[in-house]
Amino acid sequence: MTDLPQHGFLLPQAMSVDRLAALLGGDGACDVDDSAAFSLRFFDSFDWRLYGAGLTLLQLNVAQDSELRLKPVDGAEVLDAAAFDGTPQWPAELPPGALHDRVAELLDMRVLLPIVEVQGTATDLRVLNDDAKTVARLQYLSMNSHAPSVDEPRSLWPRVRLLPVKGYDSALDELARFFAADQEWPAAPACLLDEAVAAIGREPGDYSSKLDVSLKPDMPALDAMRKIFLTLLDTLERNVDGTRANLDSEFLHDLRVATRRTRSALSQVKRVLPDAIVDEYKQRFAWVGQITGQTRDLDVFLLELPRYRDSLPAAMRGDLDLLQRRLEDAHVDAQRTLADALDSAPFRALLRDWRRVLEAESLPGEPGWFADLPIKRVVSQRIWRLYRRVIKDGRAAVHSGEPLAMHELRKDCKKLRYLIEFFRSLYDPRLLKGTVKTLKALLDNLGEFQDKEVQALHLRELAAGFDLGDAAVLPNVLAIGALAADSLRAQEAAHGRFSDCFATFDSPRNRERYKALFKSPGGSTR
Amino acid sequence: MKIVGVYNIKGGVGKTATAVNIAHLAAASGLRTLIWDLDPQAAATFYLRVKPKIKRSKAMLRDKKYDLDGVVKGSDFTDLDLLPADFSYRNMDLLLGENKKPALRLLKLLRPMSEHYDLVVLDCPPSISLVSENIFRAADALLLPTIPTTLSLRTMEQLLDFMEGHDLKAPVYAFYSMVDRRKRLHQDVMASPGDPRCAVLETTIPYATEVERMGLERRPVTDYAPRSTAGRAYRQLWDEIRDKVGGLRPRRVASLPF
Repeated sequence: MTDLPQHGFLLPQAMSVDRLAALLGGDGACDVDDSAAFSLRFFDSFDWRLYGAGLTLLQLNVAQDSELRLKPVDGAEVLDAAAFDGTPQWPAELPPGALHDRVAELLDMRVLLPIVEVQGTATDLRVLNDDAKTVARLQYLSMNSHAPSVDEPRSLWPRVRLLPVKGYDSALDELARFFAADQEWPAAPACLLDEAVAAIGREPGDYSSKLDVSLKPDMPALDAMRKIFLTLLDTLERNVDGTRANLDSEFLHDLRVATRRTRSALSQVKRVLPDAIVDEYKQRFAWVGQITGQTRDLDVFLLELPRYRDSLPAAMRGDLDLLQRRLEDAHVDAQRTLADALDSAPFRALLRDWRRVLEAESLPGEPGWFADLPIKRVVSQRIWRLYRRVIKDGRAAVHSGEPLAMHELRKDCKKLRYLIEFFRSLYDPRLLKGTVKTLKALLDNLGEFQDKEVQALHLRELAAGFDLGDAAVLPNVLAIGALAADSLRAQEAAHGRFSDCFATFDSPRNRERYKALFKSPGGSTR
Repeated sequence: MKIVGVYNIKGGVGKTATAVNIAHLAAASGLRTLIWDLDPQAAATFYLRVKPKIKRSKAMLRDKKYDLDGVVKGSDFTDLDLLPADFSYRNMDLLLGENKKPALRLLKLLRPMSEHYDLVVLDCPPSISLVSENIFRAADALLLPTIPTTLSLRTMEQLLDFMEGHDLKAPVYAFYSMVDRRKRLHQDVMASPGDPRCAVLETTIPYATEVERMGLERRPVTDYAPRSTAGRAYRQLWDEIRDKVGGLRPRRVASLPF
C-alpha cells in the first residue's frame, strides 16, 4: 500500500466539498455524507515554552466532547490526551498524567494562554465501486483561524484526508496517486499551528525574553543604541497588558528586566545619546523600577513559598498558612497600585516620549561624542574597562570578604553581563560562550549571597508585623524564624564558595578570552 | 474488547438482522465494531455488500499464525468492519475438530483483534455443534432472538440445558423477535414466566416489512429507516445490550488529524 500523507493533501482554495465529489465522479461514485463542526484552540505560554520544546498543546472540541492533546510540533502521534472541559490555564489544574507532567515541567510559573482558535467543518465522503460498495473514505476539512487581534476569520487551506477501508487497498492507492501525481496536491504539513498562527499575522516564537539584537561592527554607535533601546521598549510594551492583568508573574519580571536593561544601557554606554536625554530617561525608568518593585518582591516570596514549606519539618509546614494569607493580601494591594501606575499618565507618557526620541531623525540637544563612532570600538572599550574594574574589585573582595564589597561587585558584574548581552552579535560566539558561562556562574554565586540576606531581612520584617501578644501567631513566627535561619545559612554557604567562583572567573584562560574579545579590537575611542 | 454472540439453534428467527443492526448502532455510537459472519449462508455479508469469500479460509482454523485482520473488509459505515462468510464454513465443525483445543479456537483467533476493535458481534449459524460451543466459550454475552412460539421456547431450553451440561458461564439474554402482537399465541408466550436460567430483555422486535427490506436495501434498518418501528426497536435493544454487557465506552472525540 502507498504511504499516505498522514495529514492529507492541501487543496486549492476553490476546491469545495461538492467540487471534490464531482471530480471523483459525482453521484454513484462519490457520496457526500455528514458534516460535523469542530474547533481547536492552541495553547502555550506567552514566551512559547511548549513550542520551544517542540510541543503543541491543543484542545479539540467536537459536539459535547472536549479533549486536550499534547503533540510534537513535527509529528503526527498524540503523546498524551485527556478529557478536559473549560479553558486550561495553570498546569496544576490539568488532569494527572503525562500531559500534566510535561506541561507543568516546561511552563514552570507561566500560565497557558490561548494562541489561536481554528474553527472548522469535517465532511465525510465515500468513494464507491461499481457495486455501490464503499472502497475508500475521505475527510474534507475546511477551516478558519480566529484570534481577538484580527477582525475577521482568516481562511486556511482546505485539506482532504484519505482514510482506508479494510480490504480495499488498491482503491486507496489509486486515489493517492490521483491526488499526488495527477492533481499535484501537496501533502499537508504535520503542524496546523504554524499555518493557523501565520493566518492571524503572527509566527510561533514571536516573543522571547532573551535579548537578540543583530548589529554590525561599523554601525554608528547612535544607530546601534537606538536599535537596542527600541528592542527593549518593544519587550517592555508587550508585557504591560499581562502585568496589569497579572496573568502570571513573568510578565512583570520581563517588564522589569527590560526596564533594568534600558537603565543599564543608558548609564553604561556613555557619550552616545545626548547627556540631557540620558539624565532624563535614567530618572524616568528608575521610577518604573520603583513602582514595580513591591509587587515583584511579593511575587518572588509567593513563588518561593512552596519550597520554603518543603524545607521545614513536616510538623511545621502548616505554620506558614497565615504568612501565605498575609502575602497574598499584600499582593492584591500591591498589584492594584501597580495596575493604577501602569494606567497613569506619567507611565503612558514615558513610553510614548521614549519611542518618539528613539524614532526621531535627529535628537534634541548636543550629540554625544561617540555618536558617530563604530559601535564595536565604543563598546569594546567600555566592556574592557568594566571587566578590569570587576577583576580589581573582585580580587579585593576575595581578600577582604566584606559583604559590601561583594554587593558592589555584583552590581558591576550585572552591568558587564548586560553589555555583553546587548552586543553579543559583534563578537566571536565561540569565545563569547566561555566568558558568559563564567560570568553567569559568578553572578549566580553573588546573587545567592545577596538574595539570601535580603530574604532573611524580609522574613524578619514579616515576623515583626505579627502581633506577638497573640499566642495563636507564635507557631507562624517560629516557622518564619526557622526560614530566616535557613536563609542565613545559605548565605554563609554562598560566601564560602565565593573565592572559588571568582578564581574561575579570574582564570588565565578567561582573562585571555576577555583580552582577545574586548581589548581595543576596533581601536581606541580616544 | 467485548464479544457478543447472536445465536439460536433455530434458523429464521432474525439473528442476522439483529447482528447487523446492533453492530451498526454500536459503530455509529463510536465503538470500533467488527461483525463476523459465521453462517455459510452469508446473509450478513450480503447485507453489507461484501463478497462472501475469504482467502485461505481453511487455514483460518488450522494455521496458528493466521492473520484474521488481513481478511477483514470495511463496510459502508465508519467504524463497522466485517469478517465475511465463506462457503467453506459449512465444514467448520470438521476443521475445528482438527485443533488441539477445538472449543477454544475462535476465542484464540479473536484475541489479537482487541487491538483494533471495541466490540465483536458474532452472527452464528443455526444448529448446536462444535462451532456453537466455540461461540459460547468466546462470547462475553449471548443474545438469543426468540420468536414467541412454543417451538422456540423448546429450543431455548435445549440451549440452556446444553450450556449447563458443558459448564458454560456466558450470560444469555433472550428477547422476543418477529413479534406479531395480533397473534394471541405470541401474547400468551410473552406473558408466561419463561425459563429462570435466562434473562428476557424488555425490548421486543416486531415482525415488520422494514426489516425484510434489508435484502433489497443491503444496509441496516437502523440506517435506512432509523425512525421506523423496527429501527426504534433495534435502538432500544442496543441500549439494553450495551448496559447489560458493560464496559463499552466509545472514544470521546471523533477522528481528526490534530
